[in-house]
Amino acid sequence: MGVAVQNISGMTLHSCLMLNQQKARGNGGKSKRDLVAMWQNFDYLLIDEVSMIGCNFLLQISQALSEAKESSDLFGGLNIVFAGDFAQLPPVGQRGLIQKSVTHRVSTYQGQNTLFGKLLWLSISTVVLLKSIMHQQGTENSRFMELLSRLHQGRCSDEDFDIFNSCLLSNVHPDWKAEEWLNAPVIVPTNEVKDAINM
Amino acid sequence: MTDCAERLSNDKVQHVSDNDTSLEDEWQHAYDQRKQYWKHHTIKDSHHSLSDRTSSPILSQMSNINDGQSLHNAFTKKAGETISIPIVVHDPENIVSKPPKVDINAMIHEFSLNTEQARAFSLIATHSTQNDMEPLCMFLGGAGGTGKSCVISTVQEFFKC
Repeated sequence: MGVAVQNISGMTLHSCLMLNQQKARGNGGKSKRDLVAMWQNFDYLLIDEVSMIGCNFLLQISQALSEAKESSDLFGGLNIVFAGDFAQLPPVGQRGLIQKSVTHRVSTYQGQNTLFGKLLWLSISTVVLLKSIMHQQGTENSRFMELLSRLHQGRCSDEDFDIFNSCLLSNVHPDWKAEEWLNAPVIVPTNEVKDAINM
Repeated sequence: MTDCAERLSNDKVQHVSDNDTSLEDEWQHAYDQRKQYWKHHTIKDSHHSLSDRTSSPILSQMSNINDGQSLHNAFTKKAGETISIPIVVHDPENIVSKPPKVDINAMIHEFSLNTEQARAFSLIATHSTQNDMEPLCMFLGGAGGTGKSCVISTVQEFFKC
């Protein structure tokens, strides 16, 4: 299994499950055999950034794995581990896994698939939640860490609001010509701001 | 029912006649008791029924889809509360013919995982060393910077060995 794990790391789900070649796979053609051969020696699948996976996509993953492992079990009977933070980016154009399921769309095929995907998510049997922050350790960071964790939960206090406001460019008025700012990369959201700073 | 059968075999002199209803009464009583017990049992444990099913060896195949109880439990657990996820301990009888080449505890130490991370890692690592386990279906959650990626790279390293 060893080398195989190395090979697969860094692959996107679409490429490792050949999700873009699904139509061609229907008639049991070459790509289906490729898929089966590819997954033959794998027992574990780790998926990071799970917050970006939508219900419909999860169903697609499970179906593709079933095809790959030639088993009708959930996720093809593969051992599967999802990692991620649902406060991060939500899926594009799909219902997220932790969103409430909607039942008014079950009249459509798509809506039914969404529900199936949600059920797949609910079938997770082992959950480990990590709580202690490892990156910004140290007492000097504790205030910043607390602020971040409140921001993460969407429970900022008025004091936090003031801290964030005090960091606004319009309040900081940096001297762009000063030594400390001269070589500092500045990341801005729009061209207008960029031009204003570069002027 | 078995009680009656036993009594019958032990007490051979007892003869049942057509108009003797004592046995019938006894059966009726036993039946009522069983019915009562099941009724009570089902009501009391109705909210456990899904997890009970999971533990039953016969029905474990059917319980692939559950009601998300694990996720619910994990997310509603207050901070500081003890986590009830059973850590699978090494059971010598369950270990595959090829025992793990790597020491899980040594890896936990090497990657300096904290308790939570170690729990996540050993769940995966121990699962992989055991035979006849249900497929692992696991969610590893945590805000940014809690070291999810650290666990993932430890697992990657573990499988490379």
